[in-house]
Amino acid sequence: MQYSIPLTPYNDFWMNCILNSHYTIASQLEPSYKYASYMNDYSYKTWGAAIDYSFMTPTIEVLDYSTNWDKYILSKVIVKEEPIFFKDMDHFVEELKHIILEKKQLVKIHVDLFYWLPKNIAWEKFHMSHYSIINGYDPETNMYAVLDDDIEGYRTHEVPEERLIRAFMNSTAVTTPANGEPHAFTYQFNDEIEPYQLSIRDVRRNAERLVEELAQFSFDGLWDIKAAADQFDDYISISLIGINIIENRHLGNNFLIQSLVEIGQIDEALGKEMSRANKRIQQGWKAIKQIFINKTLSDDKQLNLNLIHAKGKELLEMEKEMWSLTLVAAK
Amino acid sequence: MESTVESRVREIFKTYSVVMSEDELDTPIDELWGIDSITHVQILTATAQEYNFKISDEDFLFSDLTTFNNIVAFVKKKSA
Repeated sequence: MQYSIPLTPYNDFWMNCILNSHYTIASQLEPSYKYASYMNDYSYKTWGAAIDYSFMTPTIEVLDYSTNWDKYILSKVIVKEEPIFFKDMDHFVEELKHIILEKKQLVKIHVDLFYWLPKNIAWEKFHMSHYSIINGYDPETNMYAVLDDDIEGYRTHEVPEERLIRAFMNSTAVTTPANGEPHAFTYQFNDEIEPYQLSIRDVRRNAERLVEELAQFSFDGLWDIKAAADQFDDYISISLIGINIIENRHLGNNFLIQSLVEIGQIDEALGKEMSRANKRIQQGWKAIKQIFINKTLSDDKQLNLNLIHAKGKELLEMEKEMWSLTLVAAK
Repeated sequence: MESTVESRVREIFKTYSVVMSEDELDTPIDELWGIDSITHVQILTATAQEYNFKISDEDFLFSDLTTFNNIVAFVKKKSA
């Protein structure tokens, strides 16, 4: 395999495909950016499913990375992403190989997950396009080195050219060009990247915001599957994406708490109290996740929504109290 | 009765390639090698099928099905 830039997948916890790819790149270029991934710069949001925009599920979004690049933590590493529209669609792989092998650039290409990775939740189940990093090509095997996520986490894969072509040609960047989505992007990096410093001041600023937001977030209308029985599992799979992101964020919060204690930004007593709360929150979201997984494995296709909503509300209340601890300690 | 439930549940774990030592019976299941969330739920549903009961949403939230010993206790309660 010939690499443009060798990368070790960032996998401390899963945020989403975009963020894990960003932190993979950033922590390769400057390892201290691993600590930036732990920052509590996130909010709870709702999103509509790709297969049915009226079906809303909760998830967590990290602030700024998709709306306000210059404010985004990693803008100090990744200056911008350059859009690419391949000139010759019949031979786009030649342009792609040129970028990887001759220009030695990292590239991310639009792919339809239905055709992309066998262990991805969408494989041969539903169509959803996203950008996937390609950082290598092997001329002997005609395989591409890819970084992307599946049920085993964000990791490396080798994808045969035939599958790459099929996944790309079925992506919305190709099938719906009116949307204006680029076929691919390359990255421009900062020439001088300063090390990142984790600060309790930034954590508290986010904690203050989260305490307010968590009090306002509602589960009303969420996870309300009205689909026919034969589509039920697809809606569960989509719900699990958001639940996975939330569950993983609390794993990330655990790393944040540990890191703050390690670098002396909070004392051990506060660290222990926050860790205890965080552990209960993690367990709660894991239990919700298990309910959803169980629906795909059993013939029970009914969700006890009132119960699950009540549990979700309880977990947000616990999280609010956990973040409040950092604010009380500041006084 | 107790050893039968324990040994049958151990056999179910084994079918998912999970073999525990005695000092792992109170270890959270997701800390055991080879267990991810899906495998954990598969083990629970297989256990429920073995003993002819269903695991409800309430059970997942309130029954702490996180360790081998907890699962055995849950089975005994459901089978009583």
